Amino acid sequence: MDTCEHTLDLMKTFDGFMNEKYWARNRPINIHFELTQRCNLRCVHCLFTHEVRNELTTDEILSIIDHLRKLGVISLSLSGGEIFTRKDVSEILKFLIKERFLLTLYTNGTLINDSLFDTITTLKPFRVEISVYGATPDIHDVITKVPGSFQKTIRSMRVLSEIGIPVIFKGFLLKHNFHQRYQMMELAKQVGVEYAFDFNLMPMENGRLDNLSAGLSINQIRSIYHEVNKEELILRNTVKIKTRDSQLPKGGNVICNPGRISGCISSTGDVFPCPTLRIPIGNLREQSFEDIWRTDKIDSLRYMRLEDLKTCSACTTLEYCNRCPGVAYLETGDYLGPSPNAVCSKYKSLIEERKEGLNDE
Amino acid sequence: METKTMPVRRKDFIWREVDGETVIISSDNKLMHVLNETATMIWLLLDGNHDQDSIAEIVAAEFGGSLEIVKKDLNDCMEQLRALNLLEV
Repeated sequence: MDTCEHTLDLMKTFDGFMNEKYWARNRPINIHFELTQRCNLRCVHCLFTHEVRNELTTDEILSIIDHLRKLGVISLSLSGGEIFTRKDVSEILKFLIKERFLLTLYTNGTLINDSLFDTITTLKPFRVEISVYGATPDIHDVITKVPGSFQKTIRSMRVLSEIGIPVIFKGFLLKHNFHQRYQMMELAKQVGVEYAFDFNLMPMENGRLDNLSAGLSINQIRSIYHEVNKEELILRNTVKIKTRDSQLPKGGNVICNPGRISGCISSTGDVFPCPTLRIPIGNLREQSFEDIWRTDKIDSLRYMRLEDLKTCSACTTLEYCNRCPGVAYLETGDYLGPSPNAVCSKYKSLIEERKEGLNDE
Repeated sequence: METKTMPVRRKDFIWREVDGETVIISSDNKLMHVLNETATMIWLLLDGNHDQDSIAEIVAAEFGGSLEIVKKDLNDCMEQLRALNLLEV
C-alpha cells in the first residue's frame, strides 16, 4: 500500500493527483464564497455597491458548503462584504469546524467579538486576511469612512495573532495612504503578522469607474516597482500574461483558467468562474453547483487563448501587462478586450518598470 | 501487534476522497498525502468503530486474497499512517 508524502505548495507538489483528479476534469478545488454584500465600512475604492438583495439563508449556505465538500473542494474562502455582519456567522463557522476545509477568512476585523474569537480558535482556519488602509487612525479611517475602525481592526489582528491564528496584514495602497506604506510594514511586524500589499483596483460591480480615482498615480506605482524586492515591500497579484504549458489544450496558449478548479459564489447564489470575472453561469437556488460547473458552455472562458484577445494580442506591452479578463469585463463588458481605464492607462506608462521587474525575477 | 484497539484518523486534517483515492492535507497546508484505493478504504474505516481485525476482514472481502496476507499488509499500512502522524494517539 503506497502512501505518498509531499510538503508545502499544494499545486506544485501535488501535480500528479491534481492534474488527474482536478485539472483534467475541471473539478473545483478552491471556492471563494461571498457570504454577504453587507459591510459596516464604506471604503472609497470598494468595487461593491453593498445593495443587499435576496441573500442566501443560513440553511442554503450550509447546504452549499456540504455539497462543495462532497464534490472534493478543499480550499474555501469566506468573503463579503464583511462576513461578520451576518447574524448567523457563528453558526456557519461552527458548521465548518465539522466540515473541515482549508479555510481562509477575509475580514476587516472590526466586528469580531470575544465569542467569535473563541469560535475561530476552535475552527483553526488556514489563515485570516485582514484589510488595512493605513498605519494610523487618521489615514485608515478616512478611507473606510468609519471613525474608530482602525483601532478595532488592529485589535483583532493582535488577538488572533496571540491565539495562534495565522493572520495576513493585507495592506491596500491608495493615493491617500501611499506615504504610510513603510509605517504599515512596521505596524505589521510590530503586531507579529505577515503582510502583503496590493494596489490593483477593480471597477465597481455595476461598471462605474468612480472608485478608480482613489488608486495610485503613475508615479506612485513607478516608485513601487523600484521598491519591490529591494525594500521588503511584498506585493500580491503581480499577475502577468504567461502560458501554462502543462495545462494547454491543443493548439492554444491558455492565459487564464477561470471556471476550472476555482470559482466564486455570490451572496445571492450566483456562480461565477472567478471572483473577478463576474459572469453568472448559474444560480444555486435553481441548480446544484455540480450541475452548473459541469457545463461546457463556458469553455471559451476556461481555455482563453492569447489569440482570442481583441486588441490586446497586438499590443506591444501585453507581455508586461496586468491584464485581467474580469477587470476588462467589469469595465467594458468584454472580457476579451482591453481595460482602458483600470489597466491600459497605467501599464502603458510603466512599460520600462515592468520590464525591469520581470528581469529581476 | 495490537489489533483490538479501534484506531481513529486525525480529526484536524482536511481530507477528500476523490474517485476512490484520498488526499489529506494538514490545516496549515504544509503536509499533504495521497492514499491509493486500498489505503483509502482503510482510511474510511478508521472511524473508531472498527478494530484492525475487522478492518482486515472487510478489506479481504472487498479485494479478495488471503486474510493472513491482508492482515500483514494492513499492519504495514497502519505503521505508515502512524509514522506520518495521521492517526489520533
